[in-house]
Amino acid sequence: MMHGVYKVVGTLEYRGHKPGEIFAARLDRPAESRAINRGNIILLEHIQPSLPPEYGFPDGWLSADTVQSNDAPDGASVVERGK
Amino acid sequence: MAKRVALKDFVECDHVNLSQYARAVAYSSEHNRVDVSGFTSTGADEFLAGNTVQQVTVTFFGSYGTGEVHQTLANLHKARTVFNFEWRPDQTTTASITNPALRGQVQLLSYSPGVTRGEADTFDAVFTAADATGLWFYST
Repeated sequence: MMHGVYKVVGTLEYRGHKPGEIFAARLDRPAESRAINRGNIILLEHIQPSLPPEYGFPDGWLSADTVQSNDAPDGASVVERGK
Repeated sequence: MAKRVALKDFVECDHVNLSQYARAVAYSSEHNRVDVSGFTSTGADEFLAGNTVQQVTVTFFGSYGTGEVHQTLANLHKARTVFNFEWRPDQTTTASITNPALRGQVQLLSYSPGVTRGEADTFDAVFTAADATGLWFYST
Protein backbone atom coordinates (compact mmCIF):
# COMPACT_ATOMS: atom_id res chain seq x y z
CA MET A 1 0.00 0.00 0.00
CA MET A 2 1.08 3.55 -0.71
CA HIS A 3 -0.14 6.77 0.73
CA GLY A 4 -1.43 9.16 -1.86
CA VAL A 5 -3.15 12.45 -2.36
CA TYR A 6 -6.27 12.07 -4.45
CA LYS A 7 -8.91 14.33 -5.92
CA VAL A 8 -12.50 13.18 -6.30
CA VAL A 9 -13.68 13.76 -9.85
CA GLY A 10 -16.96 13.01 -11.59
CA THR A 11 -20.28 13.47 -9.85
CA LEU A 12 -20.27 10.89 -7.06
CA GLU A 13 -18.80 10.82 -3.58
CA TYR A 14 -15.88 8.49 -3.05
CA ARG A 15 -15.11 7.20 0.45
CA GLY A 16 -17.26 9.99 1.86
CA HIS A 17 -15.43 12.74 -0.02
CA LYS A 18 -17.46 14.99 -2.25
CA PRO A 19 -16.57 15.69 -5.89
CA GLY A 20 -13.75 18.22 -6.05
CA GLU A 21 -12.38 17.37 -2.60
CA ILE A 22 -8.74 16.46 -2.18
CA PHE A 23 -7.90 13.82 0.39
CA ALA A 24 -4.91 11.83 1.56
CA ALA A 25 -5.32 8.12 2.16
CA ARG A 26 -3.64 4.78 2.04
CA LEU A 27 -5.40 2.70 -0.59
CA ASP A 28 -4.42 -0.75 -1.66
CA ARG A 29 -3.31 -0.85 -5.26
CA PRO A 30 -6.29 -2.76 -6.72
CA ALA A 31 -8.80 -0.41 -5.08
CA GLU A 32 -6.83 2.60 -6.20
CA SER A 33 -6.61 1.44 -9.80
CA ARG A 34 -10.30 0.53 -9.92
CA ALA A 35 -11.31 3.96 -8.69
CA ILE A 36 -8.96 5.73 -11.09
CA ASN A 37 -9.94 3.61 -14.09
CA ARG A 38 -13.64 4.23 -13.66
CA GLY A 39 -13.15 7.95 -13.13
CA ASN A 40 -13.97 8.35 -9.44
CA ILE A 41 -10.62 9.84 -8.44
CA ILE A 42 -7.33 11.03 -9.87
CA LEU A 43 -3.99 10.52 -8.18
CA LEU A 44 -2.23 13.81 -7.54
CA GLU A 45 0.87 12.32 -5.96
CA HIS A 46 2.13 9.44 -3.92
CA ILE A 47 3.48 10.54 -0.55
CA GLN A 48 5.60 9.07 2.18
CA PRO A 49 4.12 10.11 5.52
CA SER A 50 6.70 11.27 8.07
CA LEU A 51 6.96 13.24 11.26
CA PRO A 52 7.77 16.92 10.93
CA PRO A 53 11.48 17.70 11.41
CA GLU A 54 10.79 19.55 14.66
CA TYR A 55 7.93 19.03 16.97
CA GLY A 56 7.14 19.65 20.60
CA PHE A 57 4.54 19.04 23.21
CA PRO A 58 1.43 21.22 23.21
CA ASP A 59 1.60 24.47 25.16
CA GLY A 60 1.60 23.91 28.90
CA TRP A 61 2.97 20.37 28.71
CA LEU A 62 6.26 19.71 30.50
CA SER A 63 7.44 23.29 30.50
CA ALA A 64 10.68 24.26 32.22
CA ASP A 65 8.66 25.63 35.16
CA THR A 66 7.14 22.26 35.96
CA VAL A 67 8.44 20.91 39.29
CA GLN A 68 9.36 17.28 39.00
CA SER A 69 8.12 15.16 41.91
CA ASN A 70 7.72 11.47 42.60
CA ASP A 71 5.09 12.05 45.31
CA ALA A 72 1.58 10.87 44.68
CA PRO A 73 -0.72 13.75 43.87
CA ASP A 74 -3.23 14.95 46.44
CA GLY A 75 -6.26 12.76 46.58
CA ALA A 76 -4.50 9.65 45.35
CA SER A 77 -5.37 6.30 46.93
CA VAL A 78 -3.88 5.56 50.33
CA VAL A 79 -2.79 2.07 51.25
CA GLU A 80 -3.53 1.56 54.92
CA ARG A 81 -1.20 -0.77 56.69
CA GLY A 82 -2.04 -3.18 59.55
CA LYS A 83 -5.66 -3.71 58.66
CA MET B 1 -39.53 4.24 17.40
CA ALA B 2 -40.90 6.44 14.67
CA LYS B 3 -42.08 5.01 11.40
CA ARG B 4 -40.20 6.23 8.39
CA VAL B 5 -40.49 6.73 4.69
CA ALA B 6 -37.37 5.59 2.87
CA LEU B 7 -36.00 8.69 1.18
CA LYS B 8 -32.49 9.34 2.44
CA ASP B 9 -30.91 5.92 2.38
CA PHE B 10 -27.21 5.53 1.72
CA VAL B 11 -25.89 2.91 -0.68
CA GLU B 12 -22.18 2.53 -1.32
CA CYS B 13 -20.40 -0.04 -3.49
CA ASP B 14 -16.62 -0.28 -3.58
CA HIS B 15 -16.54 3.07 -1.73
CA VAL B 16 -18.59 4.83 -4.46
CA ASN B 17 -21.74 6.54 -3.23
CA LEU B 18 -24.42 5.22 -5.58
CA SER B 19 -27.33 6.35 -3.41
CA GLN B 20 -28.91 8.59 -6.03
CA TYR B 21 -28.98 5.70 -8.50
CA ALA B 22 -30.60 3.22 -6.12
CA ARG B 23 -34.28 3.04 -5.31
CA ALA B 24 -34.76 -0.17 -3.36
CA VAL B 25 -32.73 -2.31 -0.98
CA ALA B 26 -33.65 -5.75 0.32
CA TYR B 27 -31.42 -7.59 2.75
CA SER B 28 -31.65 -11.27 3.46
CA SER B 29 -29.90 -13.42 6.05
CA GLU B 30 -31.11 -16.96 6.14
CA HIS B 31 -29.94 -19.96 8.12
CA ASN B 32 -30.40 -23.21 6.33
CA ARG B 33 -32.99 -25.36 8.10
CA VAL B 34 -31.48 -28.74 8.81
CA ASP B 35 -34.10 -31.36 9.42
CA VAL B 36 -33.24 -33.31 12.55
CA SER B 37 -36.64 -34.84 12.99
CA GLY B 38 -36.97 -38.22 14.58
CA PHE B 39 -39.90 -40.44 15.25
CA THR B 40 -42.17 -38.77 17.78
CA SER B 41 -45.66 -39.22 19.12
CA THR B 42 -46.75 -35.88 17.61
CA GLY B 43 -45.10 -36.22 14.23
CA ALA B 44 -43.81 -32.65 14.46
CA ASP B 45 -40.75 -31.73 12.45
CA GLU B 46 -37.64 -30.56 14.27
CA PHE B 47 -35.05 -28.26 12.73
CA LEU B 48 -31.67 -26.83 13.65
CA ALA B 49 -29.98 -23.82 12.09
CA GLY B 50 -27.38 -24.78 9.52
CA ASN B 51 -25.19 -22.70 7.22
CA THR B 52 -26.08 -19.05 6.66
CA VAL B 53 -26.63 -17.35 3.33
CA GLN B 54 -26.55 -13.56 3.38
CA GLN B 55 -27.18 -11.23 0.49
CA VAL B 56 -28.56 -7.83 -0.30
CA THR B 57 -30.48 -6.92 -3.42
CA VAL B 58 -30.37 -3.34 -4.68
CA THR B 59 -32.54 -1.97 -7.46
CA PHE B 60 -30.43 0.46 -9.45
CA PHE B 61 -31.28 2.88 -12.19
CA GLY B 62 -29.16 2.06 -15.22
CA SER B 63 -26.66 4.87 -15.66
CA TYR B 64 -23.71 4.80 -17.95
CA GLY B 65 -21.78 7.98 -17.15
CA THR B 66 -18.22 8.14 -15.95
CA GLY B 67 -17.85 6.31 -12.65
CA GLU B 68 -21.57 5.68 -12.37
CA VAL B 69 -23.51 2.46 -11.94
CA HIS B 70 -22.45 0.54 -15.04
CA GLN B 71 -18.80 1.48 -14.81
CA THR B 72 -18.78 0.56 -11.13
CA LEU B 73 -20.65 -2.72 -11.20
CA ALA B 74 -19.77 -4.26 -14.56
CA ASN B 75 -16.06 -4.41 -13.86
CA LEU B 76 -16.56 -5.64 -10.30
CA HIS B 77 -18.62 -8.50 -11.69
CA LYS B 78 -16.29 -9.25 -14.59
CA ALA B 79 -13.18 -9.35 -12.40
CA ARG B 80 -14.92 -11.34 -9.64
CA THR B 81 -13.77 -8.64 -7.26
CA VAL B 82 -14.50 -8.80 -3.54
CA PHE B 83 -15.44 -5.29 -2.49
CA ASN B 84 -17.13 -3.45 0.35
CA PHE B 85 -20.84 -2.71 0.49
CA GLU B 86 -22.73 -0.43 2.86
CA TRP B 87 -26.34 0.53 3.30
CA ARG B 88 -27.78 2.66 6.08
CA PRO B 89 -31.18 4.30 6.44
CA ASP B 90 -30.05 7.92 6.73
CA GLN B 91 -27.19 9.28 4.65
CA THR B 92 -27.23 12.61 6.46
CA THR B 93 -25.82 11.12 9.65
CA THR B 94 -23.17 8.58 10.47
CA ALA B 95 -23.91 5.05 11.55
CA SER B 96 -25.37 4.69 15.03
CA ILE B 97 -27.68 2.43 16.98
CA THR B 98 -30.65 4.22 15.44
CA ASN B 99 -29.02 4.44 12.01
CA PRO B 100 -27.42 1.01 11.65
CA ALA B 101 -25.12 0.37 8.73
CA LEU B 102 -25.28 -2.93 6.92
CA ARG B 103 -21.70 -3.63 5.90
CA GLY B 104 -19.66 -6.43 4.50
CA GLN B 105 -17.37 -7.73 1.83
CA VAL B 106 -19.43 -8.88 -1.12
CA GLN B 107 -19.27 -10.15 -4.66
CA LEU B 108 -21.58 -9.45 -7.56
CA LEU B 109 -22.06 -12.94 -8.91
CA SER B 110 -24.48 -11.95 -11.65
CA TYR B 111 -24.89 -8.71 -13.55
CA SER B 112 -28.04 -8.36 -15.58
CA PRO B 113 -29.05 -4.86 -16.68
CA GLY B 114 -32.00 -4.65 -19.05
CA VAL B 115 -34.68 -2.26 -20.20
CA THR B 116 -38.30 -2.11 -21.27
CA ARG B 117 -39.45 0.44 -23.83
CA GLY B 118 -40.99 3.49 -22.22
CA GLU B 119 -40.09 2.50 -18.69
CA ALA B 120 -37.35 3.61 -16.35
CA ASP B 121 -34.11 1.73 -16.89
CA THR B 122 -33.74 -0.29 -13.70
CA PHE B 123 -32.29 -3.63 -12.77
CA ASP B 124 -31.59 -5.65 -9.64
CA ALA B 125 -28.07 -6.35 -8.42
CA VAL B 126 -27.64 -9.11 -5.85
CA PHE B 127 -24.58 -8.73 -3.64
CA THR B 128 -23.57 -11.93 -1.90
CA ALA B 129 -21.45 -12.06 1.25
CA ALA B 130 -17.92 -13.03 0.32
CA ASP B 131 -16.09 -13.65 3.58
CA ALA B 132 -16.63 -15.31 6.93
CA THR B 133 -17.67 -12.05 8.59
CA GLY B 134 -20.73 -11.86 6.39
CA LEU B 135 -23.12 -8.97 5.95
CA TRP B 136 -24.31 -7.52 9.22
CA PHE B 137 -25.44 -4.32 10.93
CA TYR B 138 -23.00 -2.03 12.74
CA SER B 139 -23.71 0.96 14.93
CA THR B 140 -20.39 2.73 14.40
